[in-house]
Amino acid sequence: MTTTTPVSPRSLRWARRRQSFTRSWNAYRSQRTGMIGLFLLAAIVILALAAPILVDESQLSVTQATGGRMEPPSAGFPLGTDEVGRSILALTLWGARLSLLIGLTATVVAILVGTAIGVTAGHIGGWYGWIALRFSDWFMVLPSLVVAIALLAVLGRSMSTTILVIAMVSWSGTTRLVRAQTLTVQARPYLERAKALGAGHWHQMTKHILPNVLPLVLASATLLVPSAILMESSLAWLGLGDPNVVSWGSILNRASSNGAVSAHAWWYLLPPGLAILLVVLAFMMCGRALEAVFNPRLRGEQS
Amino acid sequence: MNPHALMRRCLSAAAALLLSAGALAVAAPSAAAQENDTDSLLIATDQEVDTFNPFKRRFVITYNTSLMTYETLVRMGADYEPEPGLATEWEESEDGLTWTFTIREGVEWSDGEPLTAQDVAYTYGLLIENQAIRDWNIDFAGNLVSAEAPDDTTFVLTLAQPSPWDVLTREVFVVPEHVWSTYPDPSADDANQLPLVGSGPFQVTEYETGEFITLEANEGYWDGAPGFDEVVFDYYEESDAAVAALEAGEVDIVSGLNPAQIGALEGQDGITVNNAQGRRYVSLTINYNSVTKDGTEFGDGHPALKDPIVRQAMHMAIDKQELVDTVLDGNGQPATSIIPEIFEQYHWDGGDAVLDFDIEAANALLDEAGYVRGDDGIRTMPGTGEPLSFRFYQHADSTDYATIAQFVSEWWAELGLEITPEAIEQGTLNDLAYLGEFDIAFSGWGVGPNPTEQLGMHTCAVLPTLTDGTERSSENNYCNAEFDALHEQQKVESDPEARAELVREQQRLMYEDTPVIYLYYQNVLEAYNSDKITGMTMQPSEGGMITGQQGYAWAYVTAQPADAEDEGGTPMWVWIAVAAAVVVVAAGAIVFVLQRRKTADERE
Repeated sequence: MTTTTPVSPRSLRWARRRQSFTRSWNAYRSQRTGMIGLFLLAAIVILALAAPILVDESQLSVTQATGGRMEPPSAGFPLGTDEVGRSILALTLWGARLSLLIGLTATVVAILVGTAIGVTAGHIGGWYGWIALRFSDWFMVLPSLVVAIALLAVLGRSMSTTILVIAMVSWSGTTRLVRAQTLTVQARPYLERAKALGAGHWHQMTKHILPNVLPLVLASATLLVPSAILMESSLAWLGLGDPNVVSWGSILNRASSNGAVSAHAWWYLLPPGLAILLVVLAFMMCGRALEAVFNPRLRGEQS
Repeated sequence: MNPHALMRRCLSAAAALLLSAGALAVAAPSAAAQENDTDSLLIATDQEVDTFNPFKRRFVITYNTSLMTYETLVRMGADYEPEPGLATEWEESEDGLTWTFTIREGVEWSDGEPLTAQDVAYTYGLLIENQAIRDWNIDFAGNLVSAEAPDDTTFVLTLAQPSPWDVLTREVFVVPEHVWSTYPDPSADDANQLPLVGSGPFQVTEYETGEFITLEANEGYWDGAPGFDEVVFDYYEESDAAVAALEAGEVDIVSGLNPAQIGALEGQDGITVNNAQGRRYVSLTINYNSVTKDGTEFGDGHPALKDPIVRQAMHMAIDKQELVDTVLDGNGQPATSIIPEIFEQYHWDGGDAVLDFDIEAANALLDEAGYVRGDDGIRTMPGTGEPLSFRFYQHADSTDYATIAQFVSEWWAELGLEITPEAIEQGTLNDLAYLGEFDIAFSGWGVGPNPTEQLGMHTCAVLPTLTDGTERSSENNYCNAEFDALHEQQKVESDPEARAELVREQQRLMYEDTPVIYLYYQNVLEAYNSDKITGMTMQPSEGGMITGQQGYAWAYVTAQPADAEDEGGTPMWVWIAVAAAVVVVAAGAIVFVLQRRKTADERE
């Protein structure tokens, strides 16, 4: 006996997506490091989001600071104080918001630009593809930190310029990756069929190529976030960030220019440094696991 | 890895370490022996060289090298009193326009040629006749009429207007005519090639960008050869690195320290920390009067700042003592005026006129003047209703300024002002400041013992004539006829006490008008290796500074090597014996390891 329930193409599509998501999730879940990374990341994001509830914003105020100058950790200040007497714990918690925000936004911008150029370069090809590729090559060979420093010096310092500069020096890798994947997808027969049925460039790119490229983009984005956060921290530590906001890099910058090293004030340097380390580690773990999920060749080597 | 392999690796590593230690032990005494030949005074610095041309230099580092290489007619004593330098005595004519100097006899340039009044006349002649050199020094050179040397020991200077203090305190570095007259362009940045020829205690002989500047002692210096054979400025980008070098004995004098570093160095054996009153102020410039000499307004300063009530309220809402306590950790003094406390004769301490920190009173002042708070708590201007929203620019490279900016922004927010702090590169900030495109900006100067220089930046005479920001003589376009009249008076007043009275009155006027808010005078924080250096003369002589001296490099000239007789503690043969022993032990260890490896391999 067969019962046929009418199936709409839409629900079919959703069912298929749900299925492939479950498959990927199971593949991801089987990787221990990926899960550790995910939990770590979730904890950090929750802490960053909850910072205003956990620590009142007035704790960042210099005029209302209650602690002494670079006090070592105590009951009142679990991670000690900075040179104005503010709690390092409060600064580190609030710094997480900005460091994550800059890292994520810069990555999103870089990924958007990189994917757009990569897909079009792979799909359209020809002289446009050549130029787009040479353009991204050019950005790839520039030493990113040096370029970022030069750009910041010219554009001025603010959060938005920092984001822009980080995005500018990190989009080109994604372009390469996406273009290669586009070429692979392009060679598959169903694209030929779509073309024969009269699908235009836009339809081919958005309906057929992009969905097949996205998983890889997701994995590479996850790997790009830590480098963006590291870049932001390096720039801020070098004194190229906006000194009027609190990020992990700017805390480190203040610590070193106020002589925390000479004063052996480890509590001033360690928390933001360890926070950077943890976040980068968490993103790396997630990114590697995702990569393994989406790239079967890597999956074989895992286990 | 099995335990044997691990053991083997550890032993190999130990052997390698021992061998390299042996190499170091052999290398160390030879390096030490080299250093013992010359006594070097090593000073940490981080400022690049702009130019060694003494007429054109603007940086502190080249001020110091000029001060040691060349000399002035009148030098500045350890307590800022004028005393004989190249001139043994001087005389001012009745009308104050002609000055006659007697030049010291028997002085020689570092190349052995005699120094005469002709050289002095040549130097002052450059200020008068060389257009480029004249332009750079126009505030002083503009007043010079002629410079003559009737004989080898007499120099006569003629002025357009009397200006006794400028003549005595202005540093004109006397250069050798027989060398300088061969230069195609004495005003060029690279006019004087190394090694420099001068008459001072040390001459610059070598410079490597970002590495070092070496100055060799002038053994034939007329005032006696200096204690050290050479002075070397060593470049350290990071002050923490300089501190570590001082602790390791690789550098002898470190300046520009922060309170944490001072705290870490205090009480260490062989290191003396010097925390001296400084001659530098940090201030906030308010853009309230961007106009040219003919009254053309330029820039885009906020109109509310033109109201002295607003500026005074802002002044009252700054707790300067709090800034000194937290930003400087107490190493400074709250400021009242442009002349720092170190020059107590000229400093105006405000007395009863000082505005105390009082946010409530400041708020009342603004309420009274009709600046009402809007729904968002921001005050608006009476009439136009424009919100009091100010841009606040700070130098991007200074974390101290960032902290001050945060304090001040929070205090001013309590007044109902909306403050947007922004960090800007130093060069860009200066450009914006002289274009008048800011509301409030940080500023700061090192002040010299002659108050005319600083006060002269606030007269109507130096207002710009153009609106393009290229004329940078006026600090803040301050223009007050009463102030100018006092300024002209003090310039020619020869009685020191009467002059000081005029100078203090000038500062009082500026305090009332509030074109600038002076925040604090910061201390000079420096440290030196007292095991190696002794006998440095400070300026001022009681509790004064080592680096940042003016008019003469007292500290570097008077510094003596502390242990001149005590040649390197350990005799050479001990080092050789130690090195030999280390080599033998290491060789034994390697043989042992190789042996074990063989047997281990056989056993597996």
